[in-house]
Amino acid sequence: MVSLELRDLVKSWPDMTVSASLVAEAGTILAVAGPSGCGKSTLLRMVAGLIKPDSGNVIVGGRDVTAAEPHTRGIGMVFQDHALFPHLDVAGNVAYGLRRLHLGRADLAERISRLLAAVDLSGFEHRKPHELSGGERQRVALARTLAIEPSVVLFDEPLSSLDAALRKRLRSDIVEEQRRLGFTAVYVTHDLEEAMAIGDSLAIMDSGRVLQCNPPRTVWSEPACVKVARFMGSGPCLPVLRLEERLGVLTACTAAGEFPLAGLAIQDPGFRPENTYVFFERSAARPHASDAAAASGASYGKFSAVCLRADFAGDAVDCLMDSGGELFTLRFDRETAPAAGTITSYEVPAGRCSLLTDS
Amino acid sequence: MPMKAPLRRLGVRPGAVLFPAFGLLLLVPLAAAFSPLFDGGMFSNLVRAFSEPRFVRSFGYGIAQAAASAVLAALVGIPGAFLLARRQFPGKKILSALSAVPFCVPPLIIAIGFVLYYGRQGFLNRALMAAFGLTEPPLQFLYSFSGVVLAHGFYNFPVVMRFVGDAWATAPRRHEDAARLLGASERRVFLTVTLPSILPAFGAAMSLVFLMCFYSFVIVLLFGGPGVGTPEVELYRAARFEFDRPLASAFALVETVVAMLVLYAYSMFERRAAADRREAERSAPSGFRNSRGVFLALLYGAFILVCFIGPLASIVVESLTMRTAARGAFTFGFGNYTSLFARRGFGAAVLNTLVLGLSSAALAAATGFAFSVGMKRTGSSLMAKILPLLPLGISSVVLVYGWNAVLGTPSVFALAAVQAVSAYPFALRAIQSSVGLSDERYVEAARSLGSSRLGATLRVRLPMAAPSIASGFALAFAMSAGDANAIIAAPVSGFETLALLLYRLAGSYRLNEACAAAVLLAVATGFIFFWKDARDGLA
Repeated sequence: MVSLELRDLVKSWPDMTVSASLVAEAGTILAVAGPSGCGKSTLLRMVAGLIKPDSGNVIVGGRDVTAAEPHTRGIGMVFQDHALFPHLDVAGNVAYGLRRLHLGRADLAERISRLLAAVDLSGFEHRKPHELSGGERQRVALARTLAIEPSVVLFDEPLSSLDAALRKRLRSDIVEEQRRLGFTAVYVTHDLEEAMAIGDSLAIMDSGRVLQCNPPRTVWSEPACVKVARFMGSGPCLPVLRLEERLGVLTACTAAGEFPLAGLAIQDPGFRPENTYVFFERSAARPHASDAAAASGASYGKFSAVCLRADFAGDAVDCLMDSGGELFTLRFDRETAPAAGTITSYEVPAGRCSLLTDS
Repeated sequence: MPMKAPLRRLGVRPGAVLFPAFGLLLLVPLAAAFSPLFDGGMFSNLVRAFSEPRFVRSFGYGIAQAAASAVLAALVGIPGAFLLARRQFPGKKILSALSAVPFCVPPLIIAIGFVLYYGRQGFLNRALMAAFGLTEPPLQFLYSFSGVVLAHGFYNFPVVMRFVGDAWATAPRRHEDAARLLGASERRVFLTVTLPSILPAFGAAMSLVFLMCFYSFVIVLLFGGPGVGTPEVELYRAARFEFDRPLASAFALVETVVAMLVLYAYSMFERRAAADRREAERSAPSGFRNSRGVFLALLYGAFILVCFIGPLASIVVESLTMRTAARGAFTFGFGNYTSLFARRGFGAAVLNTLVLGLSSAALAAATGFAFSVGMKRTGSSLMAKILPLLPLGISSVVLVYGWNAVLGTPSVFALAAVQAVSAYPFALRAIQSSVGLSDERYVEAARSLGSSRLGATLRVRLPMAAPSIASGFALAFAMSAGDANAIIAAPVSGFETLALLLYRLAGSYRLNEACAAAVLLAVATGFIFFWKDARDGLA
């Protein structure tokens, strides 16, 4: 098992610059998520050697491969829409990368059938790509890439053209193969749910930069900046109007709420609230219990919000909330969800609140 | 009342009227062209034809020159295709614009340009003689097999460039990257991934160029020399000068069979190429990687400039050159144009060209649209795929010869009909590419909103297809207005067009005036393309 490290990798175009430093630990999956056009595919292509970076290094298992040809890097790639060669059958596709091994006919056939068996496609050797279903194509693409026994596999939105149910199943197929063979993987997707589910660590990209790279749980509950929080949708970002001392505790005032910030003091006297926001994970907010309010004192943040719309989501209800002009979604139990149009007060444990900046 | 129902049906389905009408325009003359073959038995007539040495030789010659021309067109066109598809450079628009030349510059003009440029007294020979102090013109190949192949190959290379370039530009980049990561060398990437994806387009271009050269008339007539010509020329000679109608019919039949085989190949290639186009993703071409690439591209540009633009430019130069009585003396000016305008019948020729061109273009575009809509409905039956291409495989000389047999005398109607039929496959190709016709959902949406079938066609398909119908119309107009084949093969007395005037001027060695006429004709046929480009550029 080898690790993959991207050290200050930079590629510039007149209208866009992609620059990133990332590490995928040996034998883990690094998920890279971000809106379309954020540069995640470019990043992947630089790692693969399909685009030359302007500066920086790609290091695979301690070896600097920045100047190496794509196929000598020990890197395989599964492409968007699979990129199966349409004029070759399944066996031809899988055998494509085995050519340089100069295997005999029988060895080659044996190798191919072993690879196909691993992805549950035994007997599909002579089908053409257009005769396969989306899921089968995906698995052929995986078998074709794994045939060259790469130590790092790059996935470029491999499931984006499939329907949701199939996506979930194939996702777990990929993880299973990865655990079995132990390769290191980088998995690029614009689907946040997929990225969180598949990644041992999760990098969020925007406008060519990596905003945060942590385990998915950390990114969810402790986003590094407002952009990450907004992309994750894990909780609201309420603009801070001013900071005040209340009973010796620094308190952030928003349009419709007050949040004591435990353990924080104003470090910068020239603090300007314009690009500062209060963030808390949405599951930390709960309806305000009036009798407990006095007792809780400064240990709870409070805000009021109007429910604009309540969307039934099975075992939960997603409510679109408006707190002082800021819109966000909160997820409630079916019992506690507010009806559309009602104004409710909520409280958040002070320890769960943090300040984010709009970098 | 009993009349009303069928009439309404016809009104609702314009295709129901247009298809049979168009079929008649194609089938009536074709049947008439073949019918003399039955005079005294088809079999004996064919045996007689095949036993004539010039019959077989003519087919050998026709096929050989068409194949050689297609190969030359490929050799010249493929580097251009690569540049258009994969490289970004200044002047790319100009190279790309050349692809209109085979369709909107009539072959007659190309022929005159080649005479002026490559001829014994041509610009190139004069330049070479002056440069190297030669006493004899070094290039003397024009009136021979090589001359025909050269003219055809250069005339049609933009077809290869366009077809292959489009396929190359949309060749799947991801597939190439996948091959690279699987350890393929650049050579293997090209051979196993890129090449298979451009082969159908290449095959389609080659068969189309073959077909166009096989049926080429004017260029072979002018450069082919007195020996055996292509079947098209021999058919014309047999019918017009020897009055041997069974022999002419045999030529017509056998050349149509050959063309149909090529056409079949074309339709197979084209279908596979179209399937590839559907899944295409375009990505931006890059700049040149090294100075060697720049050098080769410049070399190619110079080659195109010298060998292809040269002949076209020499027409313009020649049209502005006024020769005086003294040999070799000349001045520049518009004298050729003024004497051309002052010619008796010039105004009528212009008017006739416009009327003939516009009416056959209208017919071709209307049928093209009706057929595009009709083909969506009939689905994927073989007829729907072959029938629209059929006119490609039938020469205008055969058709006009057939009409003469039907009507007994050459007529303007026959000319318009023939030109509409010949131009129609190209109009259809342009029209079919329109989104409104290729995507059925828009019509479904319109019908779900309460439009009738006809209403959906008129209010959704037609407006959406309007730009491509306009380009189909322009293409058909350019081809008909510039066409000299039909009118040379069956001149209608008292009816002159610019193309015929040009042919006669060139024939009587009034080259300067012929060039002025050629420039006017090229302006007329090319104008619509430029107008359309300019408009699309603004929109």
